[in-house]
Amino acid sequence: MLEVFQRVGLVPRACGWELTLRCNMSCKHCGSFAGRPREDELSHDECLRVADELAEMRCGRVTLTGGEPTLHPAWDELALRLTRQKVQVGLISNAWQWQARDAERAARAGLHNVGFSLDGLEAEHDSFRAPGSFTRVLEAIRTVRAAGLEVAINTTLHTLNRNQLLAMRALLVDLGVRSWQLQIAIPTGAMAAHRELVLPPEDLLWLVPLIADLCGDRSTRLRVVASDHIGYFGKAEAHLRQQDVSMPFWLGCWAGLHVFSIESGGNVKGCLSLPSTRHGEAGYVEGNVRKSSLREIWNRPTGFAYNRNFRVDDLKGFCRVCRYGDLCRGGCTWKRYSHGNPDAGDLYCLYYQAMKHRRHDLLEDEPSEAERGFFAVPV
Amino acid sequence: MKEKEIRERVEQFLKRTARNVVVPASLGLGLSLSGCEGNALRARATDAGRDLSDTAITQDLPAMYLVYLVMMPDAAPDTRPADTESEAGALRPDAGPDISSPPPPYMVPPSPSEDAMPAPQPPYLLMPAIAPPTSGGTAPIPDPSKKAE
Repeated sequence: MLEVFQRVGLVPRACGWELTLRCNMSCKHCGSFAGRPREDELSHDECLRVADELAEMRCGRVTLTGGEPTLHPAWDELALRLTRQKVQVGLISNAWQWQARDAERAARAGLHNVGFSLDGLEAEHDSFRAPGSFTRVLEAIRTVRAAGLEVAINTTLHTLNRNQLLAMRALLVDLGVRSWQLQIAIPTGAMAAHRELVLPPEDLLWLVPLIADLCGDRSTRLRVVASDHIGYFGKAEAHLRQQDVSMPFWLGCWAGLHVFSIESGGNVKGCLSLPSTRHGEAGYVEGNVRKSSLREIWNRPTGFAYNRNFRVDDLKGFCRVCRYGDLCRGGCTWKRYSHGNPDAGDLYCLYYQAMKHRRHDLLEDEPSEAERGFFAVPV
Repeated sequence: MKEKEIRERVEQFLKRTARNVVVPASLGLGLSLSGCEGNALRARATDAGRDLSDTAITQDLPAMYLVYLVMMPDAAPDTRPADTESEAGALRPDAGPDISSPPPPYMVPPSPSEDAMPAPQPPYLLMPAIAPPTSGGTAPIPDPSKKAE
């Protein structure tokens, strides 16, 4: 519901900052085609200015990412620049070259946590990334814990690792991991060439309730977090969004409302996952920090129009008749874009799939006439 | 949570935040009428908001708590006139040119490098539900022992 965001103001609370697109791995599901750096990446001085602008805008949290952010020579200097100005900073690394001294650098820079990507148990993770990579992630986790920092793990779910959630959870608990974010592979970037590894949408019928159970489990210190493109509504929703204390349910995409991102070349988007010119789509780029200040870009009346100017009439497919349409605004913008059928609504929505497959036991309310009617004919 | 309760919570939030907006505005009006300097008012509000935000961050409170319970004194939209030149067109003219270098070919998993860590002995291994696909492509992975500057 857009009114909720408008009521508190369009405030940039969190930013994903791609320090470099350079990467020492080439993962099958990389959404940003990371590998070579962009030819126009921000200079050291420009990065320092951006850090100061983020602090000046009172951006509460910044996540340094890439590419592989630790390949940026000043990643810890930039992190320190932010933390000294009371910005909470996290880092997401692939751990391929992570060593104990990197953990020490992270601790000195005042990082809130260090995140690593772990995409399954050893065979599955390594098949997506590189042989030996799984072992390096485990070792990196230990170095970060030894440095006194919290570890966050990101896992992208696909057809190879979808049955490994419980085993992975046991592993992460043993390693002392604090936070585990689950996300579903989206067919964008490199993953567009591996659509056979993308989960079929009907998997949501069992996977989302399982993820909700994991999110609700308080038996260990590990906190499981569902990413924004997992959901929405039904009996699972309250657990999926339980970190949202007063309103534990999905309120639509946050891009350009409370979050935004900066590419290493200075382009600004609502969310780093949204496509850019590298994907042949420039419509989500709002400006560049070389030519305008971050505040100017954020405050443009015409900026982030796909969210700020959203109307219920914009919804497509089943989302048009869904009882939650005005609250949900059609789900994750990136997911909707990447699945390539803008007229279908959000196929990767639990509510959609439950309605389609008549799994009304997963829902909280009796379906409306319009919702039933939508699936009365094959879609 | 049923739809009815969801909408009730949203309504409650909107009412609650409406009250939060009204009270500081009234207070500000009263102080300004009594001669309080406008800049000082703004500074106080800013500091108060920041302190609360920082406290919440250090206590690692949930994100939505941060978002919805912290008043943001500088949250008002910028009403300055837009730069008409830079607003023209769907593609922002100040968006930097993204070099359209081709994406790297999909990797062939490289041979384990010499500095690879010893294999783990985790008790967690499960058989994969589906056999991993064979990969194509020829891009080598950089030698991890040579860390980039």
